[in-house]
Amino acid sequence: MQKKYKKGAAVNYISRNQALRKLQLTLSDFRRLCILKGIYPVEPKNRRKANRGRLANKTYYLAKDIRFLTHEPIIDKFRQMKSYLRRLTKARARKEKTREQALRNNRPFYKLDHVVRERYPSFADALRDLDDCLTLVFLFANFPLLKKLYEPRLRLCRRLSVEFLHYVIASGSLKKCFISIKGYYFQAEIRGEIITWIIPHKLGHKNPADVDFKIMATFLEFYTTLLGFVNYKLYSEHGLIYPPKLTFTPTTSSSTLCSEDEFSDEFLASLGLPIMKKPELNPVDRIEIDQEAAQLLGDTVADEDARKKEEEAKTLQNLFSKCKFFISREVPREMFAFAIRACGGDVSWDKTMCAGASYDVSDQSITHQLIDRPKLHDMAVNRVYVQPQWIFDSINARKLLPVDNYLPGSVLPPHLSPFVEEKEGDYVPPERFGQRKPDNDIEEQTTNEVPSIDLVNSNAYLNGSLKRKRTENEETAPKITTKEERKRAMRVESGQVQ
Amino acid sequence: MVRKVAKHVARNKKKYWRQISTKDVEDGLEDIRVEEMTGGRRSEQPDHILYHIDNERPLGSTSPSAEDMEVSPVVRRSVRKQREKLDLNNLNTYKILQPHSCVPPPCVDSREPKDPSSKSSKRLVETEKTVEMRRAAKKKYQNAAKQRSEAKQKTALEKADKLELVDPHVSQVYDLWGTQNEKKQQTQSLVGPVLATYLDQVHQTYDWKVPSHIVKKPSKLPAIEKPLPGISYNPTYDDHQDLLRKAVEVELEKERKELKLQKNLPAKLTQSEAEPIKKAWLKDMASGLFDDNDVDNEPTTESTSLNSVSVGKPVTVETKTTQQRNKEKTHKKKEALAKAAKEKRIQDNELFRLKSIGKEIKSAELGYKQKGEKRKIEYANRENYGTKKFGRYKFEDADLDLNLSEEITGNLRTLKAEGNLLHDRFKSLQKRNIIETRIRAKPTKTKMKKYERRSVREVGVDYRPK
Repeated sequence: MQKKYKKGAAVNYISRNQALRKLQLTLSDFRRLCILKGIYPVEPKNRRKANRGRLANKTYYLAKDIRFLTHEPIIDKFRQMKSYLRRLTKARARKEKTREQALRNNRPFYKLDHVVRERYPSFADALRDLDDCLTLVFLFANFPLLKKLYEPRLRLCRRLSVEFLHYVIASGSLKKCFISIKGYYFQAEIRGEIITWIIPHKLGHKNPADVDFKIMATFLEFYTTLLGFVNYKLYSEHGLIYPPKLTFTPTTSSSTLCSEDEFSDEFLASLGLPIMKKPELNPVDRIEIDQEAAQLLGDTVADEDARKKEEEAKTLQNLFSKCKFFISREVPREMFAFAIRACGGDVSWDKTMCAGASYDVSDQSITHQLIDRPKLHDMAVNRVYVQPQWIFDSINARKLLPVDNYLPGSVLPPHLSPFVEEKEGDYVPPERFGQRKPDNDIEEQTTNEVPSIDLVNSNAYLNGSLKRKRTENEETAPKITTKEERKRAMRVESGQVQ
Repeated sequence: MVRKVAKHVARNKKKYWRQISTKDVEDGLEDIRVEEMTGGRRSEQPDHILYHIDNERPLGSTSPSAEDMEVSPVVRRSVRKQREKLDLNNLNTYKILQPHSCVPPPCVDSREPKDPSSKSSKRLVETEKTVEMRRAAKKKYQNAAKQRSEAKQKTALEKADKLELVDPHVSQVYDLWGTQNEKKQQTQSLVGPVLATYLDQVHQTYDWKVPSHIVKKPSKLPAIEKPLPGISYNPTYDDHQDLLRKAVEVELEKERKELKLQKNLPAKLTQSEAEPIKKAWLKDMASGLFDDNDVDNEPTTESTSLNSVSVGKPVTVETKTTQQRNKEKTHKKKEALAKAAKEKRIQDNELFRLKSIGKEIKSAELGYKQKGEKRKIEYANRENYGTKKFGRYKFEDADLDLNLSEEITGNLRTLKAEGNLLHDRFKSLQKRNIIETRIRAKPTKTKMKKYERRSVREVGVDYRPK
């Protein structure tokens, strides 16, 4: 006779407390382990079966996952950590300073290399998961140093973020950028994978009350390891030296306070100067290879598309190549320096702002200067003064836009999001007319995007319009019809015109 | 009478045999031992050894003569001033150690050289010496070799360790997705093939089979969702209105839910019922506050005082007459007949209506199929994109970050940033089913449980004995 609850859901799902008992870990250790290893809770189809006839709100994990966790060597390290802490508190309480020092020198630690390898068997997998990783790393890189966070890890975050930005600059893979109230959105295409990340504004923020900081710190721990490996791989594949070094060494004569390492780190972090490449034996032009390959295989539509894409990428990479920029003090320097350098431009800033300024305000060859003030005194003749939005809009439009709308003190045209793709019949705001290229590019946009994204866009879950089942005819605000009225209304809204 | 059974004693145990004393046997053996040591077993000795027959002075002869009893003259003993010199070959202490019993040893010690000056014994001693020398030399050599190899291993291990251990908090990076053998080759070149295999064994990591679903993500939602065009720092009017509309929708939705709940409540618990109570309470509480104003602004409702109890019609029992009963019976039968006829008619008609019935069924089935497909799509959407519920708390979406119309300046310098990225990431992780929703634990005050003693319970709190 078959007994109940001996197979099926009752055996395949294991509750959190059962898992704790099986692994002999504390709850915080278990949560840390799950986050590091990528074990997520699951929702069983039938809660009654999983809980052997009772209904209770429990967190379930797959029993297979937990069994897989038992072989993890990191669990041992957790236990060593626990005994280390016990010994340390004892030594401290007994005021045995030498013992305490000796213990601290031999603090147990663990490495996450094998975990990264398990979770991302191939490099492409790792690149696909890079969105979240980058956002978190950039977020923590901008954090103030708190006692809660482990200070070397914050420095590591800063270093890794700078390295990644240098890679994007060197490979010219920046595709889209957008300034929002949340932060700066950037999108790059690396090895065929589209990676989006957000860099927060450099403004003060208070930590929200309902965020569990320990969990975020664990995620950060894993993601810093991942980003380190990804950076190394990207650098080695692109032929750059890792860890990155500048092409020329800066002189330390001007500073007596920081060491030479820190000084070169600062220069590196300023993103102003190019980094060294490994000496290549046979430098061959990439596009030439592609063209030859295309001729061999025969021209097809896909090849044409690929070629067009290549051309577009090339134009974007050399967008600012003939421009020399200067960033004023009131403009947030890092983001714009990155954007300019990623599209091939030269950039500098005020010496008092940051290390690594290559040239001064008074340099005659500066072509553009980014300012955000309403009025400026002594303006030089042979340079153009623009507001910083011009840079981002030009990058999104893939060409140098006319500067007239972006002069200092003028009302800026709205900053449109490049993440919106329009299909042919859609309404397009008139501001986009200046930015959009002729018609063949629309098709390019829609074919380039991964088809599943259309499903995503029409998906109720992602549109946020999940709840209402009623038709859209009910609530539509009256739209102002003519273009002029709309523009005027917008200006009224933004407070520029009374 | 119960027959007494002798207590069973275990005769193969030590306990049994210990209590039996072997004193007599041992005494006898002791006697025999003593006899043997002091000149052999008495039973085996001949008579003339055991006994001495004194023939000198036969029985009855005189006592010792007087001359025998003479005191000898004083003997001049040579008193030595010095002690006798110690004769090292004839020491008393060693003589005592010699065996003095007459019992011959049972066997001969073959290891003792019988003749220390014989050739064989000399050769033996020589060989022993050489063997010892060789052994010492071998040991010395082995020790040295062992020390050398140990030192080598130690330095090799240290070197191999140093390859990994630079700063444990800064990950030493290498090509993780490339060939693993690079690291192995590095260690091998430093350390040698034998030690490399040894290190391999020591640092062996077993490749446990990774379950394949680990690579799958728990939700197909993108980690960073596409930003709505309305959250640009300088949005178009339409985009911003869209964003505001979305936020308004969320709030309206909340309100609608509240109203729905209120609608389904019983009448006593609705808000409209609660209002007069609230008003009365407010009036009571504010009774002494605003004395200068007129409090009675609202018209007082006249209360209808019902002093009398409502009375209905008096109840009379009406019985049915037989006529009425018969009438009802016939009526019933007629109805039943009519009903049957109607049903038959409907059935007949349905026969002719078969085609249309078929059509109806088909359309209904189509409806079911479509519903089924819709449900499947819904299910797939929920599985892939939905937020699952693990644990007690439901996931609540974060509020939309937006700037109101007044707060939008078209300027980057005067930008008002909204939203916390940390909070945003945290919510996104919960939304994507990576971590479960948890609420910050409030410090709970333990409530004191109130007990009443039984004696108090029986009598009452205010009881005072007389």
